[in-house]
Amino acid sequence: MPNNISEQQKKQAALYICNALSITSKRKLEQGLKTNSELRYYVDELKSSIETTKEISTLGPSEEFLQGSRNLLRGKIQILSGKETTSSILSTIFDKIKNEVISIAKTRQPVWAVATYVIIGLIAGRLLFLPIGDQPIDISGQEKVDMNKLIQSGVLSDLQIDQSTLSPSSIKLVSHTDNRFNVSGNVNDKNIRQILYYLLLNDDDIDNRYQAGKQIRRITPDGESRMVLISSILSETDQSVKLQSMETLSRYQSSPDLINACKRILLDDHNFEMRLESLNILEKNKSIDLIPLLEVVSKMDDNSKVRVKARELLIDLQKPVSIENNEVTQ
Amino acid sequence: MDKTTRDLIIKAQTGDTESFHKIVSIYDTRIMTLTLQIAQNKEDAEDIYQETFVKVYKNISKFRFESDIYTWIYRIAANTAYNYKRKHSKMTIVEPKEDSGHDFLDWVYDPQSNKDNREELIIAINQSLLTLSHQQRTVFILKHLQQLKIKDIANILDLSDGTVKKYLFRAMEKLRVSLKEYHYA
Repeated sequence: MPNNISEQQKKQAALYICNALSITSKRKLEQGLKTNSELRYYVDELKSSIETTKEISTLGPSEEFLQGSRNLLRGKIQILSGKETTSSILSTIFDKIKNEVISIAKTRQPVWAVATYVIIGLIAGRLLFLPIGDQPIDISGQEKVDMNKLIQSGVLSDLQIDQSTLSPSSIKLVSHTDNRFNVSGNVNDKNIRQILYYLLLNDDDIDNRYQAGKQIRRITPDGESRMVLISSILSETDQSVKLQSMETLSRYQSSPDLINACKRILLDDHNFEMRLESLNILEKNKSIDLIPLLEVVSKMDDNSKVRVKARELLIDLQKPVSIENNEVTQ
Repeated sequence: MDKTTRDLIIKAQTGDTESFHKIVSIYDTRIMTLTLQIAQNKEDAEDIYQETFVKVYKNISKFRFESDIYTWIYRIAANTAYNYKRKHSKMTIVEPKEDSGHDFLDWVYDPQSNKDNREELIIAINQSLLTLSHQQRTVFILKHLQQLKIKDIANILDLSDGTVKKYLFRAMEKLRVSLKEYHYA
């Protein structure tokens, strides 16, 4: 109907309803309303359409929808607070062992991964004496080796793992540049294990890291090897080495460190195979605490396989809850 | 602000996530109502809700009790909703389809749902709002459903008063036409 109203009048009418006109403009429009029936009709239509839209202002979210959103938010906040805690713990660790880190600061791994390694060594009490100088560096038969001195001597920087002439349970470590170093023994030997851990976390050569990871797979699982492997999955840059460490960890018993690392991989790692493997580990350690995280992953992960796997786990975890609810309602 | 809320905020500021979730549960119905009105679809509304409260969580230590906490959260929500379009392509101008709007009623609670022709009216409003651009819809809802002043809208959305008025006029004109048959007598 209001075809004979100018665009300017329409704008003024809209602002009039919004109470956004100056006093002068308002008076002018009100004068126009008295004499112009089309303008009056236009204003009435505007007012009426606004009143109509207000019908939806009574609508609110359903309780189920809101609860679902709260659960999802809970998962996100849990992750955020976890990250903050992790970084705070890492910075504390860093401060405590600053001196040890300085001595090996030129290594390839991130500082915190090196720090983890040094802590393992300290906790295990294995930073002991190693003879240096012109004498052969042969640690065969020694009960304990000073890993710190071994690292500083540089001999670990060009080690190679040689399995060709030994039995499957044995390992031989040789240095290309320092023929004083020649070690052979069982992979479960404490000294060899220490060297393998070092190689996995610090060697510049990807093949060596991969070989070290392969040998660590043969080690009888314990807390120390678990920590090293966790350190590897969180800091390794090569996908094959990292995935191998992850697969080795899937054979380990559950621990809070492992669960937390898997959660982090699930959220942060760009390799979907890593995320799938972390889901496999979490599957063996089902807990309702995982529900918020799985809700996030099942909806937001870039990879469909990961989303499907997370959804399956989620459904599995939620099953007992629904059974209980049914029992209550029945 | 009552003492309980104040205590919850202080605890949340020190990293107590449970206190944070209690704050969320006090205000999130109103925030979700706002995001539903602006987004007009479940997925976007939920995304905006999540983004809003993650921002609240990350910034709660900066809250200085200079305003009501709800006002502060509300401003974050409105701003997030407005800027959501820039980052996501899901929220676009949608041409209303014959059956669009029906889904809307599946995930909202309507206290007046037993009224005659209510569902038809709600769907019609939903469809009409979807014909607006995201900016027009946000500004219209903040003005007419949330009863904010133009100056406040401009301030929250970081726009000029003139831009807000322009969006408002366009929105009102479109709704006038599309809701003609539902106008009150």
